[in-house]
Amino acid sequence: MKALRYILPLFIFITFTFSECEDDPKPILPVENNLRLDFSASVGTNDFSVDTEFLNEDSHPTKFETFKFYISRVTLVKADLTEIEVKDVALVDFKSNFSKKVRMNVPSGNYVAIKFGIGLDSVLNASDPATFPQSHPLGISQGTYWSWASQYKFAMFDGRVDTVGNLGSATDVLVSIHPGTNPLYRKIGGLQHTFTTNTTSTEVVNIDVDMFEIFNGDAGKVDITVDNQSHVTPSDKHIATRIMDNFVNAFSIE
Amino acid sequence: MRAIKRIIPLLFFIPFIYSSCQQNDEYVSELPQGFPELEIPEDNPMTNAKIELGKKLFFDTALSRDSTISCGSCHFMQNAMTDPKRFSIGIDNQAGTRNAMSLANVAYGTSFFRDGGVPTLEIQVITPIESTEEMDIPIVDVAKRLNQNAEYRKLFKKVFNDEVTPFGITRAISAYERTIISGNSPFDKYHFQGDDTALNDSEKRGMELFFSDKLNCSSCHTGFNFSNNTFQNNGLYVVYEDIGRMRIEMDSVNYGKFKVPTLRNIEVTAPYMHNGSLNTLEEVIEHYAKGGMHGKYQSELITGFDITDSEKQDLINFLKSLTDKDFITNPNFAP
Repeated sequence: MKALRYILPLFIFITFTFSECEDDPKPILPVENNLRLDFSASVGTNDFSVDTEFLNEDSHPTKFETFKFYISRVTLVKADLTEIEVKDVALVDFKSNFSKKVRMNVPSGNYVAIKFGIGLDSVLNASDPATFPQSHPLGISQGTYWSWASQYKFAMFDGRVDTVGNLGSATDVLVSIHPGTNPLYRKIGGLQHTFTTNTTSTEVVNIDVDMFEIFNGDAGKVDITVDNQSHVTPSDKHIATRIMDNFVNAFSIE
Repeated sequence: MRAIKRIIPLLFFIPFIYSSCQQNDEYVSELPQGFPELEIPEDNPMTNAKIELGKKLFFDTALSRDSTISCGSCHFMQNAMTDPKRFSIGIDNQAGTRNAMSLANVAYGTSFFRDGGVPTLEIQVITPIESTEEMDIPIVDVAKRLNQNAEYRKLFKKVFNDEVTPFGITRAISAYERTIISGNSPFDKYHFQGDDTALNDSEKRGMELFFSDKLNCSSCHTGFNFSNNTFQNNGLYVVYEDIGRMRIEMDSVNYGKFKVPTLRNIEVTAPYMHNGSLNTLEEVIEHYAKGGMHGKYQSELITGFDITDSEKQDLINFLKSLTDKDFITNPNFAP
């Protein structure tokens, strides 16, 4: 019995030692999120970042401290034009690189286009924010909830614009535009892009959103030196509506 | 084997003890006669411990940014859970723009606030806490603050088996608010409880007037809670400073519309109207007798009526018979 006491640990040790030396390929594990939408923003041909000054379409120095928006009902279109919804909701927040990336697991396959809504459909918009974990896009800590109306702000543009050549001074015109409410939900018809997803790697799709288009698109110009406040009241709803109508055409895949 | 024989009956007994403890904590509401059953949301069953926690939160000023304002700062028991001020004073001495509504029978509400913008009592809790004019603090920060408090941690653990969370705060306060029931006024005793002596002759004459086609009060102030839960432009102004329900619905049809309030305990809930602009019941009756200000969006139900002084007094006496003295002295609704 005494001999067994010494032999048994030795046996276990040898077994482990040999197994370490084996040259078997490591199993390929499924990747956690096999599709990522990386959002970036631009102002015409220049990059946009929050807290960074840029010249708006009228060459006024402008800076946004907050730029974030919901996308919802993210749907992939297959080559045979059948569609599959792959994510219910995400909040794209330009405050950090991490929060500009939307991660999701999708079925392996070949796809030809991506669709999503800007804002929240009426079902998501009726959510009770207190029922979600704080990190959830619809959680109360995201700062996107209008408790007085029990609805979410679909997008937030908060910042300042300068009209006298001194951005960052008391003469700045403050901008706070928060489109929301069910009638302002907009759907992107389909961003054409051919890509393939599998279970072992993450496919990255780069999507740009153009600020110029948002504030000066086909639906009309929003001059933020004048139309700079909209919280979707009857008197300022037209500003938020124009922003959302332009927003639809502001996305492109790089 | 002997030990097992002893343990097995004990194992059967323990679940019974546990389940009886659970049942004991279930809140059993004693609803007034004539009141419908409460509809309790599936995610917020009422227990005594939760209601007790909700009451503690309701009257705790820690739910405001500078710890000066609680829910109870604007809802007083003796005023049937309203505020006698025209506009309640929120944080930094800011005055609101609407008169605080009664919380009596708020459990039966189908929408909340004067404009009805909030669909559930649970979500309603968030609004005054986060309003910059009222308590002005993100509810997430309230949760963080209360998590520093050992007693709250213990209570939330007991009720929700969790730390202090926005979910728990909204559920506890709304569970407490569902206990704010008023239904034992002289009118209730007369109408629902069969006590023919509960109303005097003047009050009975006033009741007839109230429910008459001539005055038409009961077109809106109807049902056990004296409200049909609709929104009406009652002709207070031609041009409204506060557009009311239109802020929510965005259409001019809702211009100047506000929720029809309950008339229960109306004697102690002055001032009246959405903005507390009328101080007495006499003024209110005169407004309706005159037929409002005839604005474009005024309700067609407000047409005016002739009323004698004695009829007016009878009507006021009837309205005062809606005062539930048990309710406005109930210590459950005071800190």
